[in-house]
Amino acid sequence: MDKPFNPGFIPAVIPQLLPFLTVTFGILFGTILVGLPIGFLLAKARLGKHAAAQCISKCIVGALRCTPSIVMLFIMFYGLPKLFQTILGVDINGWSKAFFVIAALGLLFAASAAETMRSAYQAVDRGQYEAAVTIGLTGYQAFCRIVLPQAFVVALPNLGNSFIALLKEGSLAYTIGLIDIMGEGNLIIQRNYGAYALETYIALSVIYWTLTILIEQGFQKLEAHYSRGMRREYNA
Amino acid sequence: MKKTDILAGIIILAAAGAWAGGNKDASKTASQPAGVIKVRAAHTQTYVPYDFVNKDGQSDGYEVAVLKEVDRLLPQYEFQYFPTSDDDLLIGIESGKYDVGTKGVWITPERQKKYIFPRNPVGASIIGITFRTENADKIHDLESFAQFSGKLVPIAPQNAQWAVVQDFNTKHPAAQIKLLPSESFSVADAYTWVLEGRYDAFFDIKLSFQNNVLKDGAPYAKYKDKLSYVPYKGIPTWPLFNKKNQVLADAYDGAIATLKANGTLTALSQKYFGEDVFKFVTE
Amino acid sequence: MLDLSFLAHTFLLSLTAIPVTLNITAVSLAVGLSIGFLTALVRIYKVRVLSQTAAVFVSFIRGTPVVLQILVVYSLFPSLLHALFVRAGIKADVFSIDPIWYAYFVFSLNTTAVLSEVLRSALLTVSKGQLEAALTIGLTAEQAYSRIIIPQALAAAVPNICTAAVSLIKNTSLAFMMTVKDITAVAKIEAAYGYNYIEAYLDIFAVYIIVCVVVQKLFGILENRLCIYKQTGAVYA
Repeated sequence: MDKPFNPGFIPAVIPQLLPFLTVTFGILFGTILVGLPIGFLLAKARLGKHAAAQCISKCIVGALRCTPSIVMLFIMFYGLPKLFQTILGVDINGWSKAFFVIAALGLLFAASAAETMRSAYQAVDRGQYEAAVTIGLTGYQAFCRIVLPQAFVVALPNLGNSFIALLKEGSLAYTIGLIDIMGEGNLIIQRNYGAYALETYIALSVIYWTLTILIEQGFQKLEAHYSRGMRREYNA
Repeated sequence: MKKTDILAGIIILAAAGAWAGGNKDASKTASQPAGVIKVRAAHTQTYVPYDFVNKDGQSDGYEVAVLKEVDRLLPQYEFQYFPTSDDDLLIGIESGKYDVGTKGVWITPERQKKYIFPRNPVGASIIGITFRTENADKIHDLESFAQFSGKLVPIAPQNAQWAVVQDFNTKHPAAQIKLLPSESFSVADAYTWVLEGRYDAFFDIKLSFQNNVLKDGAPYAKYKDKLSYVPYKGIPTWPLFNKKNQVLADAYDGAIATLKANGTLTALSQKYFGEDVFKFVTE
Repeated sequence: MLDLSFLAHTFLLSLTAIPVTLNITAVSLAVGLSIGFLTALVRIYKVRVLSQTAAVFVSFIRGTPVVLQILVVYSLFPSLLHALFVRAGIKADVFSIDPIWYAYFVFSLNTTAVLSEVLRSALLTVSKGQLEAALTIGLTAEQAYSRIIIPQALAAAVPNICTAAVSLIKNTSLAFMMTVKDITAVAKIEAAYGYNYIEAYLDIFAVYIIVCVVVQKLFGILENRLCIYKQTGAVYA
C-alpha cells in the first residue's frame, strides 16, 4: 500500500523551521547556564564532609531526577508565580515563557549534571590528589589543576549525552505555548490538516541530526584537546 | 583560559537572546483607558480550523475569530490571546492563570463542575466516519458501521470524540464500536490504515476529509473513489470560563446572542468551515 | 478545589500501570547494556567497518527525537511488514502484534545508543595497566574483562546508567503514542472526561516519584557494592 509520500516537501519545509532554531538554542544555552552551576554545587555537597549537606544533596538530586519534565514545567509555570506573589508580592505571570522553561529544564539538568560530575570526580584516582598535596599544592590548586582536568575528560562523553538530550527537551516549551522547531513542525502539520506529517518529521530529524553531529564533533575535539598528555591506552 | 571566557560569553549572549526573544510574547503593556479589564484568553494551538497559530504567528481560527468579535462588542474588556497546549489551557483556566479558553470543547456534566459554561455555544463540529467505499453498501451511518465490524481507528481520550463514541456505545449496547485509546497521531496514518484494512473506519471531522481527500491536489486525492464519508452529527463547542468569571460569561452570552442575530456567526462559519455548522446541531 | 475522590481513584489506577512501565524499562536496559557494551568495545578498539557503522548508528539514534522514532516504527513498520508478508505469502496478521513489542523495540534501540556512550566512557576510566597485569598473571582475555575490567568500569558507569534508567522511565510515557497504557496514559485517560488534569498530573507525579525513588535506591545499593574496592577510608575534599 503506497503511503502518499512527497519527498519534495522535505526541503520546502526546512526553511520554515530554521528560524525557530533561535528558540531551541536559547533554551539549550539557558538550561546549561542555569544547570551546570547548580549541578556543581549539588555534587560538591554530596562529596563533601558534612553529613547534612550530603543528605540534602542526595534528596534534592533524587527528587529532581524522579520528576517528569512536563510536571516540572507545570510546577514552575504555576508554582513560581504563586511563590513570588506570597514572598515578594510580585506578579510574574507576565514574564517570558522562556524563563519558566529554562527554570524547569535547568533544575532537572542540574540533577543529572550533578551525578555526571560526581562519577567523573570519583573516577579520578585518589592518589592524584594525594600526590599533588604532597608536592606542596593547596587543596584548591590540587583540585583545579590536577583532578578537575582529568575528571573533565571522564565527564565529557556523558555531558555530551546530556547536551544532546537537552537539545530535544526544548520541545517541551510547546506545552506552554512557546514554539521551538519541534513545536513549529507540529503547527505546520496541523495547518496542513495532518498531511505530510512524515515529511515534516523527516525534515525535523535531519535538522536535529545535523545539530547532534555538530555537538558530537565539538565534544570529540574537546575530548582530544583535554586528554592530550594523558596516556590514552585505549584508542578511543 | 581565554577559550572558556569566549565560550562563557557566547553562552551568556545566547541566554540573553533567548530571554529577549521569549519576551516578545509577554503581555502588552499598552496604555489603555482606565477601567478596561484585561481578559486572558487561551486557545489550543493545533486544532485547525477552530484554534491555531497561522503562518505569521498570529492567533487564528473560527473560535478565536468569534472571540475577537465578542471583544469588539464589549468595550469594557480587552482580550489577549495565548496559544498553548490542551493540558496547559485546562489547568490554566481552572487555576485562574487564564480567564477563558477555547479548544473545541464539548459539554459534559463532569466538566461543568470545574468550569463555567456559558448559555450559548461558540461553534459546532461536524463529525462522522471515513470508510472504504467498497463497504458503502453496508455502512451508511454509525449504527450500520457498528454492526459491520466496529473496528475504529484509535482515538485520543482527551479528544472529545472519545466521549461521543462512548455515548453512542451506551445508547447501542447491542452493536458497539470498538473504542481504543491512543495519543493523537497524524491523520496521514489514519487514512492509510483504513485503506489497507488495519481498521474499517476513522472518526473524522468533515472539514479534514474534504481537505485531505476531496480537494484538488489533496494528499489523498488519488484515493477519492476509495474513501467515503458520512456525517454523524454536529456537536456544539463551548468556551470555558474560570469559576470566578460569571460576569464575563454573562457579557459573553449577550454578545453571542447579538452576533447570532446579525449573522456574524454564520458568516464566520462559512469562512472557516465552508458551511454553516450550526445546521448540523440536532439538539 | 481538588476532586479528592478522583485523585485517590486515579492514583490507585495508575499504580496498576507500573508493571507496564517497568517492563519496558527492564527490557530496554537489558538489551541496551548488552548490545551497548559490544558497541562500546567496537568503538574503543576501532574495529574496521563496525566502528564507523556503530558511530553512525549511535549518532542517528541520539540525534533524532524519540517522537519521530516512535512514529516511524509504529506507522511504517507494520505497513512495511504487512506488504512484505503479503508478497512472501506469509499468512500472519501483522496488525495483531501487541504494540508493546514496538515499544520494546524503540526504547531498546534508544537505550543501546545512550548506554554505549556511557559504557565507552566508563571503560576508558580503567587504566590499561589493569588489563596488562591481568594477562601477565595468566588470566584469559575473557577472565581479565569479566573479573577485573568490567567491575571497575561498572563502578564508574553506575551513576550514569542510573540517570539513563530514570530518563527511560520518564520517556516511556511516550509509549502512549503506540496505544501502550503506561502510567501517564492511564492517568490522562481518566482525566479526559471531566478534565481533571490537575489531579491527574499530581497522581502522575506521585507515582513516578515512588517508582524512581525505589529504582534509585536499588542503584545506590548496587553502586555501594561495586565501589567497595574504592573505599579507602579517606574522605574526599
